[in-house]
Amino acid sequence: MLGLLARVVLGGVLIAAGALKVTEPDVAARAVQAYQVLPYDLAATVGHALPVVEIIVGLLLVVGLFTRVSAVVASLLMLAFLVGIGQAWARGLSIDCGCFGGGGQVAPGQTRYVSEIARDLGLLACGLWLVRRPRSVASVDARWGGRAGDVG
Amino acid sequence: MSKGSGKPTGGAPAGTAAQRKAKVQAAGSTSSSGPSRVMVAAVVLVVAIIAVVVVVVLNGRSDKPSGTAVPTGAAGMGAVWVDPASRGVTGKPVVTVYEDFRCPVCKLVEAGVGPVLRRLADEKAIELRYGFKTVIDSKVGGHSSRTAASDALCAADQGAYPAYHEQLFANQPEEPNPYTDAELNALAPKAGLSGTQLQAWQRCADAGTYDAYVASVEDTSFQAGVTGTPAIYLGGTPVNWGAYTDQTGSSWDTTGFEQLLRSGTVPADRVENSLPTLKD
Repeated sequence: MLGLLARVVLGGVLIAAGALKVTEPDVAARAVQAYQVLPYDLAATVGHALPVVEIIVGLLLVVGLFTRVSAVVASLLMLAFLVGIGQAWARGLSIDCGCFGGGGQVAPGQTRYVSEIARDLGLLACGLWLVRRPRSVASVDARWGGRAGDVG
Repeated sequence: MSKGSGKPTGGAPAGTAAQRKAKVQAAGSTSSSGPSRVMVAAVVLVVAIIAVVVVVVLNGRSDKPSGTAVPTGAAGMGAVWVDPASRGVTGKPVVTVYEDFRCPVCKLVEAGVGPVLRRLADEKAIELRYGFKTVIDSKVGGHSSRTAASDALCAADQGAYPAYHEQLFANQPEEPNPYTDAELNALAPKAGLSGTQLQAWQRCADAGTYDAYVASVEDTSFQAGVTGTPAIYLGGTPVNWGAYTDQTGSSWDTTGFEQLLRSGTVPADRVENSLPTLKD
């Protein structure tokens, strides 16, 4: 049951985050640029691609298809987000993570780094759990009868 | 579902896991007849890659409008635009206003010190420049900050920039609403355009003539660190305009602000520390 819970929480959040951003590509691009990590144009491309990747990985997790590979990708995403938010905090940038749309610069007093990091740590825990134990009830992997780790 | 399959996945001995697997298979597995996992994985991967590529290409186009028109008064793509009244003015304090027509605080500042800026520019007491930003487009979506600025430059081509500029702020939609094209069109006659001038403005606006230029100014200024609006620079120094108003932005020390602009230098206690110093 814990596996199912981890799938639905992590997958659901990824789908929501992706869906809220995919319709506003310019906003998503600016949100990534605001982290000031990647070169300006590359950051825009990452901003455009990220919502699509989030939705796909989220869907795979929710239905439980190729759970292990999906969980690896989702965990790497969470790690990247944590590094991004952490470096922004450490460098004294005042940005919104832009995780669910919006993003970009905010007033110095309006950052929410602690809650953003706590949330992503929780989601990372879900991902790592599924990497270690990809098999779970109510998943396509299970219905397929193969071992969830075989391909996915 | 059998009772056993609902148990936690952690810590189950191998035997139990195998039993559960057998039960799951017995409960309606399609493993023998359906497509292989490798096939499905390949299809999912290909679909995912196509989806990402298509979205990236389409979005890249919407984000970066094509077009090469640079308005009269700007030195090139990415360069700020010199107000018509300030063309040819030299040796005067250079005031650069970075603004977004959709930004509510910009409207507030415009109402407070806009008339001072306009008067000093018309008197040739300052060299007034504008950097058109699209901060709200980037925060809440849409492109109407960009369209509004492009349309304002179209109005400048017809000699009606100050009036159209004023109309834009006077009719600013409430955040997060955008300006509609119909609203922007309706402002042109209100700004005093009519006849062939209005037709020329309309052609310029319909073509999104200066969209690419406005986008280039946003990109250049963002990369220089001017990420928010409004930002007012005196020379290369950002001005803390908040020091010239009260908490609500309803009353302004316009006399003090005018003295500051005329002096050409920003005292240390009036420098906006959240913004970078720029060249020039």
